[in-house]
Parts: sequence; structure tokens; C-alpha cells
Amino acid sequence: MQIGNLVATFFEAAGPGGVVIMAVLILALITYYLLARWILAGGKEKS
Amino acid sequence: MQLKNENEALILAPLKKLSTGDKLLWSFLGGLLLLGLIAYIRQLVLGLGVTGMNRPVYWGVYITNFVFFIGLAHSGTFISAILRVAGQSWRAPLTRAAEAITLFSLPFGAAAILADMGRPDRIFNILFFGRYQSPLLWDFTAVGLYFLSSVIFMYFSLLPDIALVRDRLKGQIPQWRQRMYEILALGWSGRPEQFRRLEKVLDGMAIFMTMLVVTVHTVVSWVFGMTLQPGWHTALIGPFFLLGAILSGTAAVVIVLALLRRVYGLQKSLPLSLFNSLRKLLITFTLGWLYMMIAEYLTGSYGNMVEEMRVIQDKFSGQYALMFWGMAILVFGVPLLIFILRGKNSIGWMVAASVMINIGMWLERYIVIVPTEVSPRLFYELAQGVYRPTWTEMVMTVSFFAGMALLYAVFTRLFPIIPIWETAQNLHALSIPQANQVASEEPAVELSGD
Repeated sequence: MQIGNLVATFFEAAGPGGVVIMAVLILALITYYLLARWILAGGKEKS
Repeated sequence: MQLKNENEALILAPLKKLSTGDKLLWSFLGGLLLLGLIAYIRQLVLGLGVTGMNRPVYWGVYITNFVFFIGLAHSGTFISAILRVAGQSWRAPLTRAAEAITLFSLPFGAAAILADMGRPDRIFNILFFGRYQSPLLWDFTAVGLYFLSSVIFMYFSLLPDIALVRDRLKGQIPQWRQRMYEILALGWSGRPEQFRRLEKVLDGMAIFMTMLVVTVHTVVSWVFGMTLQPGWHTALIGPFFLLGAILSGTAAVVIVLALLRRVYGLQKSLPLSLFNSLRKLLITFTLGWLYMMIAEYLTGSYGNMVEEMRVIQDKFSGQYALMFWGMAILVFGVPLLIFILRGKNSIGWMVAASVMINIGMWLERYIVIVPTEVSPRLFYELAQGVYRPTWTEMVMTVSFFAGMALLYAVFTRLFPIIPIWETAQNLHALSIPQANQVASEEPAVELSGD
């Protein structure tokens, strides 16, 4: 029932929807930045 | 060991020098883009009354363009991501050309939305006041994520080639371009471990992008499907839009590849066999699209609901009949005959069929959107609508296509349009499957000519 209330609240709340948009995009940006760093660090001499 | 691509010189040739033809083309396309800008400024000053939009036809050519350009964008993801997941190695020469279509069609899809808004400053309202329940919010999120991911996916796969251009073309290109490549290469040095990690990331992103492709166009369709309007409110609208997008996107890839092959002399990198493979895909998608159309209209007309039948009859035998049946012939009738009877080993016929498919798919988007608004559910309250696109909307449409073509043409002169590293003859020699193998300190793989 707790989860049911949570889902119901999500669908009934007014927003702001920008939180969802920014959360998704910022998470994606951080992920891609970390992936880029990981790729470029491949094979570098470990100190 | 060096990555060897026997076509490297051919692929790099377009980057070295601009021709007079390029300058003329860019000027022409830039001129069309400028015309679109003038039309838009006029619309901004005079209001949306200069378009054909009215009550109850609130969405017209601009939204048609939005759906069409987002659909075109699926080409890149389909070729580079979905075929990668499916292990189809023949796709390698096509990936960048297809991804570039994605990259340059998405902004114009978004621009179409801005053009559709009489008050474009209100776009930020979706951030501040958007409701979680709104398909428009889902759309904004999905398309935004798709654009960001497409840029990154393409950039990652471009990295080794940017480094190669940085090293190979030193002294042969202007200083500003040399600097640009040095910055964009992010210090890539071609170590085997970098290639292995890059392949892993691209494999993972390909799976993610495949999910995004399905999500994005389904969410775009839900902007229509979540309303109660006849012809829109159907569970089939998601797969219907998705298949149409993949069809038009793949057809666009055929057109672009044929042009690149002809203009840059890339016959060796883009052999006939690629077009034959795309032909098989297009036959499958065309038949799939036909299935969706039959399922959609048979279900709607069998139910015989008054609101639905008004729209269906408008399309089948009413004011939109010419457009509807023309669309069916252009998307299905003629192209399928061409693919089966003439398309094999013939790029010319493939291009002809693909052009027809794209024209037909643009009409298909229009046919999905406008007739429903002309005869909406609240028919007697809102009255029958009338919609005639004005020259403003048509000029803006032409400028969107010109803008996309311009960005694409400039891109092909700045970056190798065929992935040099992915089509290297000895790329497989890089793969070392053991995860705990320590890479040597000295780079075993060199892309640099030093």
C-alpha cells in the first residue's frame, strides 16, 4: 500500500516536470563524462 | 602493429580542399535557410495568423515536420546501434553517415516545435510548470536524452578518426582546423586498451540507444495517442510511428550514401553489396508498414464509430483521398515493386524508391495529423475545421531541409564520413578478450604517421 500511495502521488502531483527533465539529462551527462574519461585512460601507465 | 585501411587516402581526400561546387552549394542552402529565418521573423512579429493554423486545427505543417525529422533521426541509431547489437558487421562503413543524419535532423525537429509556438519564450514553462502526467514532458525528456546520447555516441566513435586526421593532415589544413582536431581528439593516442574500452562502451551504448529509439518515437506518438481524438487514440500508434520512422530513416540513409558515393568517389568503401543489404531491410520495413496501416484502418473502420468513420472516410474518399492514396502508392506500391523487380544491384532505382518513400512518409505524417483535427471528437462543438498551409509554413519547411543538408555537407568536409578505424582491415587484431590482461606501456597500435 505504501508503494501504491507513492505511485498515486506521482501521477497526481502537479510538477514541476523540469525536475525529471534535468535529472535525466544531468545523469546522462555525468555518465558520458565518466565513460569518456575511462576510455581515454585506457592503457596509461599506472603509478 | 598499425591499423591499416586501404581506403584511408580516399576517405580523407574530401577534408583537404573545398571545391567551387561546395561553395556554391553552401551558399544556395544558406540562402534557403536565410529565407526561412526571414519567414520566421515575420511570423514572430505578425503572429501565427500568417500560418494556416486555426481552431480546431492547432497542429499543421510544423508538427508534421517535427514528427518527420524525429523519424529521420532513427536512421542513424538503427544502422549504428541496432545493427551493431545484432552483430551485422556490414554496417561499419555506413555508421557515421547514418549517425550524421540523426545528428542534423534532430535539431530541426526541435526547431519545428519552436516555429509552431507563437510565443517561443514559453518553451521554458515545461521546465518550471510541466506536469509529470504530460506526454509533452515525456517527449521533451526523451528527445533531449536521445539528442544528447546521439551526439556522444557519434563523438565516441569519431574519436580515433579525429586523432588520425590531427596527425595525418598536419600542414595540409588551416591552423584553426588543426587546433580544432587537437582539442576534439581529447589526447587520444590509439593505445590498444583505449580501443578495447571504446568498443565496450560503444557496445553498451548501442543497447541503450536501441531502447532509446523505441522509446523516443513511441513517446512522440503518445503526444497524439494519449488524446481521445479519432485516429490518434489507438494502442497501435506507438509501433505505427516507430516502424514509419525506421522506414523513412533507412530510406534516407540510401539517398545519402548514394550521394556520398557519387560526389566523393567512395565506390570502394560503399560497395553495391551495402545497398543490396539495405534493400532487404527496406522490403521488410515496407511490408511491416503496410501491415500497420491495414491493422489500423481495418480496426477503426470495423468498429464503425461515428467520430472514427468521419476521419477515415475523409482519408479514403473525401478531401484527403488524393493525398492518402498518393501516400500509399509512394510509400508502399511503387517502392516495393522497384525493390523486388529492379532494385537489386541498382543504386539508381534504390535511390528513386527511397526518395518516393520519404516524400510519401512526409505525406503520411500530414495525413495522420491534419484530418483528425479537421474532424475532431467534439465535432459539433468545434465545427469542421479547414486547414490550408500558407507560404510561410512551406518556406520554413524547405529551410529546415536546406539547413539539415547544409550542416551535413559541412560535416563531410570536416570529418571522415566513412569510419576509418572501424573499417580497417586488421581491426580484429586489436581484440584481446581477457579482462585482467595488463596493457603494455608502449602503444602497440599506432594510428599516427610519425
